[in-house]
Amino acid sequence: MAWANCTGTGSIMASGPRVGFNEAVAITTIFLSVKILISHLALVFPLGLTASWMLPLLHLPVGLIGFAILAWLLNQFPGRTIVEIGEKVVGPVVNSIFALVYFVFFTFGSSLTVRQFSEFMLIGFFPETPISVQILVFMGGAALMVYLGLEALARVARILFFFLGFGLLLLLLMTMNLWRLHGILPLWGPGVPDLLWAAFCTLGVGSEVFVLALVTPFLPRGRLLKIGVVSLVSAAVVVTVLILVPLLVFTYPVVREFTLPMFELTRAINLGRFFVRIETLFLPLWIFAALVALSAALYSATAVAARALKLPYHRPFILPTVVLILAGAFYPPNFSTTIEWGFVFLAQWSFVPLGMIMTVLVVATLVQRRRRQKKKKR
Amino acid sequence: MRLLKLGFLLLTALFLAGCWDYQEPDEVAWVVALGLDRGRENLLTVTLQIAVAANIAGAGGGGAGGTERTALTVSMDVPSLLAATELTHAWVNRRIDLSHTKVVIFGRELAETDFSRHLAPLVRFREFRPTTQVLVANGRAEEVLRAAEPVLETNPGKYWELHTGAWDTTGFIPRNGFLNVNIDNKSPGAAAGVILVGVRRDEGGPPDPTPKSQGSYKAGTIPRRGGPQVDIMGAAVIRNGRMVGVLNGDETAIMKMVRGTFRETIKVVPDPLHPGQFIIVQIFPRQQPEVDVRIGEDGLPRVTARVLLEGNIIFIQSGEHYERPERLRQVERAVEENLRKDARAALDKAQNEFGADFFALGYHAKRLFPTWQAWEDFAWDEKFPEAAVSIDFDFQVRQIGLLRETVPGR
Amino acid sequence: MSLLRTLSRLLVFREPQEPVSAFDSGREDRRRAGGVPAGSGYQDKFRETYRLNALLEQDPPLSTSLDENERLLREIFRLPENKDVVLRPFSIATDPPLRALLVSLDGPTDRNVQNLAILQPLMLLAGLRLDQRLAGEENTPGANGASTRQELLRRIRETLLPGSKVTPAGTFKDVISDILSGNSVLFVDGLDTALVIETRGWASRGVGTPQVEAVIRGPQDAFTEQIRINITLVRKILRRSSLVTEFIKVGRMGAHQCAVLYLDDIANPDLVAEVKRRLRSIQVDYVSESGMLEQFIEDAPAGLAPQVKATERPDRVAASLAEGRVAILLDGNPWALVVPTTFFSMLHAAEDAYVRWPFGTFARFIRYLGLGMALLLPGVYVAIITYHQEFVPTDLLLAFTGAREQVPFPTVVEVLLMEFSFELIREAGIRIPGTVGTTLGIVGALILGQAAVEAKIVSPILIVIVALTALGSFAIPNYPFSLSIRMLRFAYIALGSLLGLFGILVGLFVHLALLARLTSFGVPYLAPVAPVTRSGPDFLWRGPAWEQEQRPDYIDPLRRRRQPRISRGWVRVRKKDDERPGGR
Repeated sequence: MAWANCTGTGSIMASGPRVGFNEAVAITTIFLSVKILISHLALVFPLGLTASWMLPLLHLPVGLIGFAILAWLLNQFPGRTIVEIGEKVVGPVVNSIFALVYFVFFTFGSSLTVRQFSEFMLIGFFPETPISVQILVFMGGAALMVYLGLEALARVARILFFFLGFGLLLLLLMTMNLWRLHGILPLWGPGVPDLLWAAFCTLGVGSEVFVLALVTPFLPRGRLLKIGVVSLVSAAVVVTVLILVPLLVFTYPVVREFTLPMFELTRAINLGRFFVRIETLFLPLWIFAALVALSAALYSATAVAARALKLPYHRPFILPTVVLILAGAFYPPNFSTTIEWGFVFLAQWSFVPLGMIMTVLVVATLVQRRRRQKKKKR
Repeated sequence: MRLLKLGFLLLTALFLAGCWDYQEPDEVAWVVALGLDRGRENLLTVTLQIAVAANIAGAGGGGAGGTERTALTVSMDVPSLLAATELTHAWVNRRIDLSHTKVVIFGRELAETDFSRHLAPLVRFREFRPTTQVLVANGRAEEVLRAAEPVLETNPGKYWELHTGAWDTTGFIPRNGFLNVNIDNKSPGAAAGVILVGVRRDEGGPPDPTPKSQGSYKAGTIPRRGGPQVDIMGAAVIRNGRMVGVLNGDETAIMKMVRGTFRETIKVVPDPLHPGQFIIVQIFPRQQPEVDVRIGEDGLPRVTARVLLEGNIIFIQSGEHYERPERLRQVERAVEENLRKDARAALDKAQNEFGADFFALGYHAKRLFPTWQAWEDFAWDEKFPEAAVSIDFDFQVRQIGLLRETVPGR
Repeated sequence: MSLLRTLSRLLVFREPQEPVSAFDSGREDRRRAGGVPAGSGYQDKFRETYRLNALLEQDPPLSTSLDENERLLREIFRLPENKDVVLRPFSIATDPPLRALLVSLDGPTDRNVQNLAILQPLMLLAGLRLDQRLAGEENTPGANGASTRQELLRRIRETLLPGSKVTPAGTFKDVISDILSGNSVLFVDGLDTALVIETRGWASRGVGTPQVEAVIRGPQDAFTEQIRINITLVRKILRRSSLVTEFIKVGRMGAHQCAVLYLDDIANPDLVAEVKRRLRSIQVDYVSESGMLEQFIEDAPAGLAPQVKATERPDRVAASLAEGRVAILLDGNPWALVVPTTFFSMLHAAEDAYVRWPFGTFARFIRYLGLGMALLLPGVYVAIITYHQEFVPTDLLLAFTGAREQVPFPTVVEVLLMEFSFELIREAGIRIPGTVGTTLGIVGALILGQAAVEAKIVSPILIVIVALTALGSFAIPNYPFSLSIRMLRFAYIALGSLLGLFGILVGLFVHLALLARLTSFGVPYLAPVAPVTRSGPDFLWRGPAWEQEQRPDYIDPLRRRRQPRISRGWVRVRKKDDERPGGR
């Protein structure tokens, strides 16, 4: 990591952004696990009941295999993102459809995320501030971040990773006196078949790892697989713990009630007369996680657009994409619709189109390869 | 630079647009306690206790101090609790804020019919929090709030916090809070025990100087003179969203021991060798209680609970030389026997009188079921009254205090 | 009588005596179309200066004729108006005597050296030796011919001038710059090369104690205004042959000597080249202070934090050089610039390394706390008091409420009022003459605060907040950095009052993003935390001295390891025999 090498040029843009191993892991982990802080969690409990905490552990092996395939595909074409690979493998026409899918995934995904975070702020902390202002402030922060570039985003994510981790640890420690170990009993929740089906239905929770397919050229060479595996495992651990703790504190039938289980968890903290009502202490956790995830999504969307249109810069796309995201964020008529849509779009079925695209790309790559080998033999 | 200017411009624009949630603390009336009663002219009578901040802050400065009122208590008849917060604008010139509410007190009449119906939905409202304490009054809640006057402190919020927080220094107050009550209310396998609060009243009748445990009283009936008018002691048992009965201090202590929330109590035990004289011990938990639940062939649960305690001898009236290591067992056995007696009374109330598992023994049964559906189908709460429950105690003396033996006076 | 005079003075009109000035500038009507004011004096002067500057620009070589040289010098130095330049004609006591001219400035030259080491040997002692030597070799010393002249020059330089540093100079530009810096220049008739003799001796402050970066433990010397002394102070610590000092002149009008110091065997050559490239490229009249120089070489002049570390301590410069950084010293300035620098080094003090490491670490964390308070405390106070009242413990909230009961201002106004008056106190405290300074502190801090509370203008809790904020900002060891923090504090107050903690946190995120984007000479500002690079335990906390095994990776030094893994040589290395039971 010879940073001083850039002194000669005096500008980092000239050599392209560089994202180190730790930064990439931080950004992917935060992006993957940010859902757990908002209402997504509320819809997990009705599926998994007392065994909800097993869902991420069930998702993990599938995610790892999926990512291994994605990493194999990306490694076949070093220095290219998934958009360019698609163009090479299936041609520009089909690939433009693919790119559109990626773009919609990231833009509408962040629309729903920002809406949920803003609704959360509205319910929890700022009941009289208009939601439009809150969404605008969130998106403004994210847009500025993306304007400053991937490198700054990765570094900030890395720094905040410490803070977020510390915040979660604090949350765990502070609720420890409220844990009721019978919260995870009966152990198998809805029963094993239902649990497996629930895990299958929510496979989309790992789709965010796709962000790595868009920043591949900037990652340290040859470490893509490791970055993905570490991020997936750490996100699975974080999510498991964050499902487990509300279960232990509220126990099953009560935990279903809340729209924002994590928020409720911080409100439940009760350590004597001084350490109560300290949900405000965890405000950084939510806001920083939201901003990092939104920036990552916004960057990915703009990067998809830039790559698909073969432009060297993503900056011109920031403003249009933000406008699209805002339009999407204002679209759901109320909070409960937003929650449902967010769950359906981000967690439940997003893996179907993405998985199909990946399959097409992998098959096409294999076919092309075989053809090339045959040609060589001739 | 351009960015900076733009940001500055935006900030100014925001400034002009308005600070929506901005609110000075002195423009708010802080409610510290709430009371709910069956209404006289409407569905509910809601009582708000509001802290008078100016007097509280002034008293600290040693100004006029002392005699000024630090709490303002007002009752209103409204259809629901949150409707009251709007109606308050009629008589208070500040916005009402419930986020510092320490206690919600239910009048007995209301608790016996509609406890959960009025309590559970409260948590939807952000200013109401899961850490709030829930109490049931032996009479009307408005009486309690009106009678509650902080004596040792100026801040009524602190008064309620300290008062209900005493669960860890006495066995007679259940460990509580909205969160716990809510969970016990909504989970199959447990009934909630809520703190009992009462205004002191003289229950006539002839004086009765026979020896009694100090834990045999309930809030409002403690024989005392002087001091504040409000007591906290014992528990109200809630089953199916309704209050079904009251536990006295000793029974509350047993409930806490079996639940594992017990911290400390003082027990007056009859001397096994000298009738009419007493040994006094201080009791602490040694470990979490061991509860074993099995399902018998008849489909009914069999529960054996073993409460592990330890403690110190703090007083031996008779001067008997119990302090010797080989004789401590006698004291231990006497204590265990005494606790067993309390436990029998409490269990009798649980199974026969209330039909409510306020010991939360059902939680220990959850592990026997593989799925949630199976556990719900088992219907613990229906089967509990017929269950075979035995509560046993294992007490060990640790400390004997500053005396190794007592030399009899001559 | 006098009454009458007064009356007449009052009543009788007199022509008013307006001051008449020959210089009357800035009037539109006196300007010509070309933007140059009319007037013959102006025109002449303009032309003359233009000619002289063009002459200097050409950099003419010295003439062999002494008179010609003298004429040009007189013109260039504006003699006879200019009284500072001393032209001392004399003759060297050779046979036949040579006409010579000694030129120097009156003031910065050391008179004693001039008299004893130049004039005395040349005028009195020259005779014997020069005559004999020259006579032995050549008959005619005045004969024309380059080799003869060179020989004569060599003779004078080697045998006649006992000064420690005598260098030949061939052009007017060199000569003039040396004269201006206090050296004496000797012109000899018939020679087209002048001799520059080191006679600098202007008054300067001695080496004193650090004024800003004071420490309890550690060396107590600080840089002074003399660049030579400053370099010496660094060399005194780093006695190493690879310590290189390169001089670069910065500024077109009055060129200031600017020294670039680095360890040739450790500093990255690309970094050194970049520093020199930036310094050479500066096109400016003159740079007199390192703070001005800093602005010319910073990566991002509008960045939220200084990207160059200024220090007045030679030991810090030496330590930085040993890490592979580059130091820039400017003549006439007691502040050295160290590049590249990172966020974390802004919060390091020299003392961290000198005290035992647990306390060094502790002090650093106190400083981070100070940074947080200086930046965020007032903003967070406003946000919590006005937006997040549920977060405040009830007792405290009721105390706030009660205390604010009679305060007429909203909390934001209160905070801004107190913060601005505190900034006022601080600014006034710096500008005020030293003797009154302490009084000001008392007036400002005690009386103003007390009175404001008594008058119910602010609530007493706010005084605590403002005082803590001030303490926090004083705990930041780097002065320019603390200035930027002081400014940004107001942005956070604005954000806090607009959107509560939400605003502050979004602001913090943007702040972090801007810092993460910043570089100092190509090195990421937040290294080694983001991006993660290998580094010794010396950025967030201060590890033990014997664990500082690696130089910071982000500087990319030529040699990375600075001490072996086991640097405490006396620690016994565990051998196999030690494993036996009962062994150590």
